Amino acid sequence: MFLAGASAISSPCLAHARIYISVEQAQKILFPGSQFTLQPILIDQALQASLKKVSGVHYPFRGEHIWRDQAGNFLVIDEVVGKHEMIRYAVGITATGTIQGIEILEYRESYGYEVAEQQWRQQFVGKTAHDPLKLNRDIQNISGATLSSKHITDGVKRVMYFYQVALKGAN
Amino acid sequence: MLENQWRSLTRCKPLLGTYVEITAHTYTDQSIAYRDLQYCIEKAFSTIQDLHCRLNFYADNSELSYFNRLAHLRPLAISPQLKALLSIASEIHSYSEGLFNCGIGQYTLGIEKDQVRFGDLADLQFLAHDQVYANRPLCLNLGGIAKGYAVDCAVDILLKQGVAAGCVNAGGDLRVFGLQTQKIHLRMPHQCHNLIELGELQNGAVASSANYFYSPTSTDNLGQRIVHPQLQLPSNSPHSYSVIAPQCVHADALTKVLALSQQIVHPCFERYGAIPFIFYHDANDITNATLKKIRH
Repeated sequence: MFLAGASAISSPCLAHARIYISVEQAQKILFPGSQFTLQPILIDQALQASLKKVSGVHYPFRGEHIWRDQAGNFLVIDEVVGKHEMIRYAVGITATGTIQGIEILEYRESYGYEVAEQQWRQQFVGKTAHDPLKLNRDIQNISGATLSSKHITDGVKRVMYFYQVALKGAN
Repeated sequence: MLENQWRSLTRCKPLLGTYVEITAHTYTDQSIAYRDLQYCIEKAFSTIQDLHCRLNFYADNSELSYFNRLAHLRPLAISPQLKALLSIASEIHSYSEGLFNCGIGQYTLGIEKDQVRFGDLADLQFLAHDQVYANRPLCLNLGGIAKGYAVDCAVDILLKQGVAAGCVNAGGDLRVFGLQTQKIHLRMPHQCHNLIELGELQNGAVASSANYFYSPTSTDNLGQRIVHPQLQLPSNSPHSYSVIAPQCVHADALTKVLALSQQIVHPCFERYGAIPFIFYHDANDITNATLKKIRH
């Protein structure tokens, strides 16, 4: 065990954002060898209301990031927007309606109130879509409690209800 | 450049009630190909998933719930994983003179302390053939140690697979391993979204406890509060307590000893080769005195 560089402790920096894997990588991890095509679904108001009622998730579900392979497996991309965070994640659902796996695609803390702060926005000035990965190289290992994953649990519940009422019949 | 010879992969999953992040590094010219990192990380996640199911205090069908229900009635044969964790927990309970105590699960369930007289880790009897018996009814909640244990198990799997270096971070309890030193950041207790760079860690673990996301007015279960085993009251300390140790399970458990004892000289730390430090809520930096302690 070795700790070095403690004298280099610097002024505080704002918490992190990180991109883990792409949608394509999530497809390969959850359903190796499958070819997925985008199959967006329009969510009407009635469905939106029932999704909210079942899951307790108040922000709207977006149906444009739904992927399907030839075997009838689905990959649904959803977002958790909490008080402290924005998390983009993928739920793999098999053709028989079971969860194949859940993968976090992107984790962005301080999404809510601090996103409007100049200091937070300043981090992204001049960055392209690929740059947040570079941003994360310096902030990788954070000790101290991270957020509870309860919001993801609620989100997955909503995705699975959505599968039951909107996707299952497509197979 | 040396940096160019490393390739790495990081994945994250919701497990153990938080977000678990696994990073694996490999040299480009090593026997483990970059594509095999994927397989190694998958195996490590499977191990954590298994522990998540076994040790979940809130799931009626977990092995821990089964143990809590029946261990006082007859000796129970339990899995090597649960036995190992109970054994470590009992040892730290003993060395910390009861400050580390998983026998307060009833508090989190809202059971009044006079309603049922539950036992604790001191009531466990480790018998032959992986059997464990409890002298009194139990309501053990291993939440104060399970994340650290899961991190160690995942690191063991990655090392067995031949991964050269990496990090497993389960909700802020993390362990780095391998040749690379890795930067460690710590949340500031009074501004949980702000981070401070602690230094670079190699082959070691760090865990922290604080009421980072606790809000008395919020209905979200975002706060993980430490409950004092003797007083059976939650800690309202505004400070952050961190411990560096070779094993994450020890770092995780010892943060509770530090938070409750408020002593960085508790004999428990030396026994496990651990380095404790407190980040005071009104400090903008870690004090020089604490830095010296870390460096030793």
